[in-house]
Amino acid sequence: MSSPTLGALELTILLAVARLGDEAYGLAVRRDVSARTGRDYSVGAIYTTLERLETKGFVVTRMTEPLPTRGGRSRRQFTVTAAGQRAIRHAERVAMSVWAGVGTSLNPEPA
Amino acid sequence: MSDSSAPRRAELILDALGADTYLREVVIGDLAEEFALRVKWDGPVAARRWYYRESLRAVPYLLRDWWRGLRRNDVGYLAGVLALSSMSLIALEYVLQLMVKRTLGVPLEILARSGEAGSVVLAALMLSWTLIDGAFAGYVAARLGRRAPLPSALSLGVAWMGLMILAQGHAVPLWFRAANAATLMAGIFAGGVIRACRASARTVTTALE
Repeated sequence: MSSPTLGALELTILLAVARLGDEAYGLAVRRDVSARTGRDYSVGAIYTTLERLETKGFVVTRMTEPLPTRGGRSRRQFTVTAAGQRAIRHAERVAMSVWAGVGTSLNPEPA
Repeated sequence: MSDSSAPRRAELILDALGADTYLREVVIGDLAEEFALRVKWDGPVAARRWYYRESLRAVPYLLRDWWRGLRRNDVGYLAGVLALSSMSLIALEYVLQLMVKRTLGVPLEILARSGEAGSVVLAALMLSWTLIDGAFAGYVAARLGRRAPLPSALSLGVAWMGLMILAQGHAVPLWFRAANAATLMAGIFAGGVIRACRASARTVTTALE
């Protein structure tokens, strides 16, 4: 059986979760992704994608204790699983293979 | 309410959208946390503006989560809520029709489309009544649909909008049918929001006691 595939936003968010480590929760992920892509993603879009990643087995979640800074609500923290790490490596190999040889044939400043 | 605490009404509305508890908690929590940061960076006015915009953007996702989480028994419960709140809507409408007929001797709808002087005023009166009628039914729907107050009210609004546009017939001008249906939807939504805010505010007060 083939492993679940990753969409572009899924990969971006999975990489953010991997990068943020113990600080990977919705708000931090959203800010990281928005800063790197230059797009303002809504909190709903981030959580929908994170839930999809969880369903695919690429991340696991746990709820923290309620925090006063969140009006007494908990954070939902995400951690990349072994399957998620394999998916990242696979996506990296695919990207390198797809991009191979392109750099030399492109103009430095396309019109 | 301090400047750094998130707009309470918007939080209550998001809370009443019937999404899964975990999703609601983290979405509202994230918004509250970032709101507090933005108050420091940009000031309370800009932070509030940001909060309302982000809350609006979160609504489709929360509604979608409610929709996806619907089970067969939830659908049955929702149908019951719609039936009961529709009955309250019809009862209130019937009382109005009766009152107008007894007072003026003619049904309000006939007066409104008679073209006589003052029919515009009557049409405006009818729309105002539709608004009150809708608010009452929306409140009832949200009250009965405790698991998802706002989706219950919105479902009632969608069902009645369709019915009003289709069932009023061609004798009533299209603009009036459309205005009446839109007014009813607005009333139902307002009633649902009022109920959602009241119910959640009471829950919070009880929890704090």
